[in-house]
Amino acid sequence: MIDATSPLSTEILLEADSVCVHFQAASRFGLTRPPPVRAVDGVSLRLVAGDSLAVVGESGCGKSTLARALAALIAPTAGQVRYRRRDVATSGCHERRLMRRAVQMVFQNPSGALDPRLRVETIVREGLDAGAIGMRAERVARVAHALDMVGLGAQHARAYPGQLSGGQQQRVGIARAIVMAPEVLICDEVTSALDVSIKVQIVELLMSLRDSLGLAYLFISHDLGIVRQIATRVAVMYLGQIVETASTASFYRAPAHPYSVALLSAVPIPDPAIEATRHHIELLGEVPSPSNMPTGCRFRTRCAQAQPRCAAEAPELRDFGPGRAVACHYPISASAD
Amino acid sequence: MTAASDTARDEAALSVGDLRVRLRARAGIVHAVNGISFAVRAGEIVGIVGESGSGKSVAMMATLGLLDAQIVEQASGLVTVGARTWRDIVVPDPWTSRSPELAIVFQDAIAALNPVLTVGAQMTDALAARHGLATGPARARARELLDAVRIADAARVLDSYPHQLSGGMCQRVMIAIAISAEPKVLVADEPTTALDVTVQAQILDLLRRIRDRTGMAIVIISHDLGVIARMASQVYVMYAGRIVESAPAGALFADPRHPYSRALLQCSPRIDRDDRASGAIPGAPPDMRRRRPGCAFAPRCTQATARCGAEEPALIPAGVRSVACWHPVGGGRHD
Repeated sequence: MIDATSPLSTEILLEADSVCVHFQAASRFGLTRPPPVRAVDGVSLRLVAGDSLAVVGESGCGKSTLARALAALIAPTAGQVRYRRRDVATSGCHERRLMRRAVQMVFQNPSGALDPRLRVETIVREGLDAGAIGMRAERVARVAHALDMVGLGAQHARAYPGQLSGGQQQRVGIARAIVMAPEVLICDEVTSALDVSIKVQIVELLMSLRDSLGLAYLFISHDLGIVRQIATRVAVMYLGQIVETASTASFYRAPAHPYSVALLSAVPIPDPAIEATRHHIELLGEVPSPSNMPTGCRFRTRCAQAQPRCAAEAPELRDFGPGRAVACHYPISASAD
Repeated sequence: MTAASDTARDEAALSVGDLRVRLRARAGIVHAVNGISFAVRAGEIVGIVGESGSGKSVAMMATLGLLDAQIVEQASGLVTVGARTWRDIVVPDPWTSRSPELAIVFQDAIAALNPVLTVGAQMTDALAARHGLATGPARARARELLDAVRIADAARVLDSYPHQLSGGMCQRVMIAIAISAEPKVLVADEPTTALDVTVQAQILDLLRRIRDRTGMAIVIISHDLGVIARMASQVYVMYAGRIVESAPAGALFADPRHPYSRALLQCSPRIDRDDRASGAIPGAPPDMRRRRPGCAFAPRCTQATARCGAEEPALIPAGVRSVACWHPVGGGRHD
């Protein structure tokens, strides 16, 4: 499978190679096993140093499951997750520990992701304590430094999560990740639970951390407005597969997969003059069940452009113009590209 | 553009005057709504935009008489629908209070439906209670309503439990129940916030179609300026329980005058622009348990002066819009 998500840079930090994550429900009365839910179904992507890749898609497309597989929180059913070209599943205990430090995750719901009975400083220090990294005094200093980097002070360090606002809680989540000195930060819908004025504060924080710490980001998001601001590349997922990857600029200028086009056309723009003249593409029906996929192209049941070929043959992710790959038999060409 | 006649369009379908609500919370008294007034005409879609805690949902619950009397410390205001006026904001029996004139659709449709009853049972119950319909006619009417909200396989949906339906489908069912009594005004409180963007587009389109067909007025509450821009012709911006700016949508988005409206618009991420949304609003919304003198936005406002911290600015009409600010910004374009 061609992987167009990789720029020419050599330092590949994190890589998914045909990763599948299937969930098998328990059998009914020991007789028949229901078909597995194919949450992630053959995804390949690469994250190089300094990159910001956004995986976008709607609920149930498998983007959060993919993030968990990349963070080695769940094992893929098939395929490999590689950190610095070493298979995470077969690497030794020591290597895996280093990988877990280098790839950190920030979660969507900050109040749910923080232990309500621990003080902020303890929450942020937990990873260092667990890994027995440095002397205690050094850990305390690293925690203070991490909190300072996310814009929290000593008064916040002694607080409990419940005493902080949503934006401050998310800053704690970010501090907990960067205190481990990671190379990759996987951000799973980190701004979704926040108000718009706070959202932008968190985006600005993440951007400044990228510059000061040289972090590579994998953003999991359904918010296409935020993605345009933070990502350098975009990968669109639909029913467990990547249907399009492109640089952020070319993706927003001229999406090529019919699903990408529909997705972008659905996002409202805060300008009534533009909204009044915009053409919205209404998708047909609902998303099929990930345990009962359509034959051929998974999007064909909702695609206005679908042809007989789309039902017979599943399209592979193929190169389509510079830096772009599309899994569609009839991709939409940019008019002036 | 709308099915409403000219005369109907001129009179307010709903008007709310000087609505104030204080709620009892564990941590003290919350000044949730601090004197807001607004009106919506038949066939009009009005948008109320604000962040969490700005009081927009409480204001709507108060308008519909749905506030829980247990937690209301004090509530006052005037709610007028057509020829009827209510002076009691808190009512003992919300079920019968302001219906059928007003109806509401909530954010989390799956939670708003009863999980142990089929959709059909819930819909026919409501129809039987309100219109005294027998089971057969009630079910027929329920099917009609599901057709009206563009559910293709109404029979299957009637026999389904809420968990068997998608979020978008549940929201369609909620809208069907809300419009079953043919209300004059439909309040949609963040109706698409829990939904995916393509489903959101479908639901917004549905609300518009219902408005076009029935001439119903719609009040849509959202934190998303994009949703407001797509739907509303008149916009109210709320901050800390007050309306800080109201204007026709075109004027508001082209040239917001209140520093908060302007900042909110500037920091809303857009898919049609590359430029980084500039200037996050510093700080956080105020603690609604403490009412400080002056403008509530002053601590976060870049133009604030000493006067802003001392005196609360009133909502002053100027042309087609009203602004509550001592130092309104913009004004590059005359209304």
